Amino acid sequence: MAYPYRHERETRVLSEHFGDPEARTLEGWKKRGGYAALKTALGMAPNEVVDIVKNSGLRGRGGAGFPTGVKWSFMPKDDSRQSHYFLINADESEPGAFKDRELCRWTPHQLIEGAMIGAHAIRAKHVYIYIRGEFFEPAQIIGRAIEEVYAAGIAGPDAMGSGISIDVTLHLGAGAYICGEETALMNSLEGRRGQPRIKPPFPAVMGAFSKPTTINNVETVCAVPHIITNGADWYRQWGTEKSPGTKLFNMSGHLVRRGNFELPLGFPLKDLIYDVCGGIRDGRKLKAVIPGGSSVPILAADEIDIAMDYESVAAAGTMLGTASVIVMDDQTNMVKQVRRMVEFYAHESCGQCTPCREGTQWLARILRRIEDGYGRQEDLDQLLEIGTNMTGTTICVLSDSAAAPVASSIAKFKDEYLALIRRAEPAAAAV
Amino acid sequence: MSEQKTTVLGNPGFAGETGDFSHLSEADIRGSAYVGRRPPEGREAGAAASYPYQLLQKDPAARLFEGPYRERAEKIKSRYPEPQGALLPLLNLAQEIRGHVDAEAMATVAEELDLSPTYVRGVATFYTMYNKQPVGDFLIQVCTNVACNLCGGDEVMAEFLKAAGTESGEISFDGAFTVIEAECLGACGFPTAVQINERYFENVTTAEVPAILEQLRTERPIRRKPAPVDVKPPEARHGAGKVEVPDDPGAPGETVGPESNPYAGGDRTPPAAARPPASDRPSSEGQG
Repeated sequence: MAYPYRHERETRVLSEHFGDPEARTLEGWKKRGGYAALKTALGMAPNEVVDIVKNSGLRGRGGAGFPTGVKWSFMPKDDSRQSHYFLINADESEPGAFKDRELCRWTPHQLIEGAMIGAHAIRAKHVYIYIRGEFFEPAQIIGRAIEEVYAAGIAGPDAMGSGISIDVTLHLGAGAYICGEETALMNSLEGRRGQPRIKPPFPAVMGAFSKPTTINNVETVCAVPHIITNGADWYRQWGTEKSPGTKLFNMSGHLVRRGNFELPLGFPLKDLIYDVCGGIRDGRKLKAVIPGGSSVPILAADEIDIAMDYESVAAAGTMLGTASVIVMDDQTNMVKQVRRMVEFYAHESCGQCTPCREGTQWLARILRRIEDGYGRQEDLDQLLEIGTNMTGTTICVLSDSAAAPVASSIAKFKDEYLALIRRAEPAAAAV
Repeated sequence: MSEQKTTVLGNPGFAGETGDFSHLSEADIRGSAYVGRRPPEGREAGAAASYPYQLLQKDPAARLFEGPYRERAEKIKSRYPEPQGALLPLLNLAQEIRGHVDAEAMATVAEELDLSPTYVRGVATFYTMYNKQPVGDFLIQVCTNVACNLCGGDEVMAEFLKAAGTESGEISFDGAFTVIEAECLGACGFPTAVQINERYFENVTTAEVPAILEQLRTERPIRRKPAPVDVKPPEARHGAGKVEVPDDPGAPGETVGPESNPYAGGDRTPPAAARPPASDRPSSEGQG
């Protein structure tokens, strides 16, 4: 199909049917082997499904990389199925990430199938797909797919004739980045402000509507049907020992080819930028790379010789996150971009914890001051100190996320900050 | 059809009226036939009746949750184990009817769910998608977050403000546009991403901004008219990517006045047969 992003080095498992409108219909999806995995899974005991996913080594694609099968095994083994919930996190709003939107747009049935398999595995009766309110078109496509599966008897009281009852509901958010955090999402689903909850109790004990709940990212869930159909070993043929499988890499910024590319985990970042994406736009030079969405520390141009799996990226001092790679060329005003990221966190802070509510505002103000040419000598130390006080002191990690790009950009691009500050204080520069 | 849409603005990534909304008339949306049919007998409905439509035909004084909207509200409520779960979708519904959510609408929603108005206000003001005050017919949200910003998001934002002749957050003099900066819209690979009401426009450059506004100005009077009751047969309504032009918009009995609540009558709902079957609805080919 004429989907714009295709590269010969891609391994297309989840994204195989991107760009194919027929795959979005129930008929078309069945023709492509859809819902066979669900049928298989419904014939198994929940524990067997959990074991297969556990053996596959699938890790959560929402950023934290927690092993999915292990997460599922935390759920109470209560066969009454009365009171468990399975939530799908489609509240994709990390700056740089745009994989879930494409998965929802092009493969709604892949998502529903995976969600229903997951629901069976954790003995949940009800699946809520929480999609961000801005994703109107993906929401419509999923909504229509849900109507199709109900009409075909795939979802409902007797899912595929198995006697198992699984309901699927689509829930739209209303514009809040923090609702992508799992407990904030649960609060939002319950009709509250999307503020993260203190853990413990963990969701598997007390989640949505105070019932045991498991929550997974869209991409994680989309991988499940393939694992059930082809087995855990098949999935392990890609990636590394600890990070098996394929991953959608969301490439944005100053690249020749932007878009989603599905590649095995552990793919070299250098090849990703220079081969798959065709290098830097307009023949420019690379300046910096953010490897996992705006919440992770920035890498300088000479640090990109790493493999894109959870462990290797962590070893380089940053995080794989959602594998949302933002590439910046040598013309980039680093201070401006960091200020823009921090302003985002200041806007999206839920306001519960003081270090975050106050810290994000001060970071944004000081960065704006430096950018505008009114920076002071002590500003960099002040930024770092605020950042330190914001890290590890709050309920969720939004605060840490805001501090990470500031600290890493000051460490790696200090000259740029100093140049702006010196211009503001010519007397100080002479000292 | 995608080619046609592409050439309209000369923009290969133009998302335009993507997906499956384009063929629906206002009447389809207003009615409850399209949204959230209850699939198997007696079950909780699974699909959404709560899409946050941002319609041009809005009435800030309309009464909430009447006629088809009552039906939708009840469907939404049926899907949550606790009534409060329906709070966000009901606020969406209120916004769809009135165009924004004011204190009075929040109080009505509170009453509907047996919550205190203050609590609902606390929730509604937490979320950015609820417009606390009226906005123009087209709410233009330009992403200026990092991925779009690297590729000129700020410039596109400035161009929209200039072309619409307005300040950020204000309604333009003709009531057509409100332009605001948005946080990441989740389309970072297609900068600059712009959301206009429910539509995404992708890969927008400054040069295309006037053409987009021009297209919206053309659409505006068409979309503001209430759709006729007698809809065309399904095949004829597949004008994908185009706005449905009613043959006879001024049919007697169809005029909408402030005193007659346009949403109250269930008879405005088009027959279910008028909806094209799911499989052959127009779709957005890979122009994204």
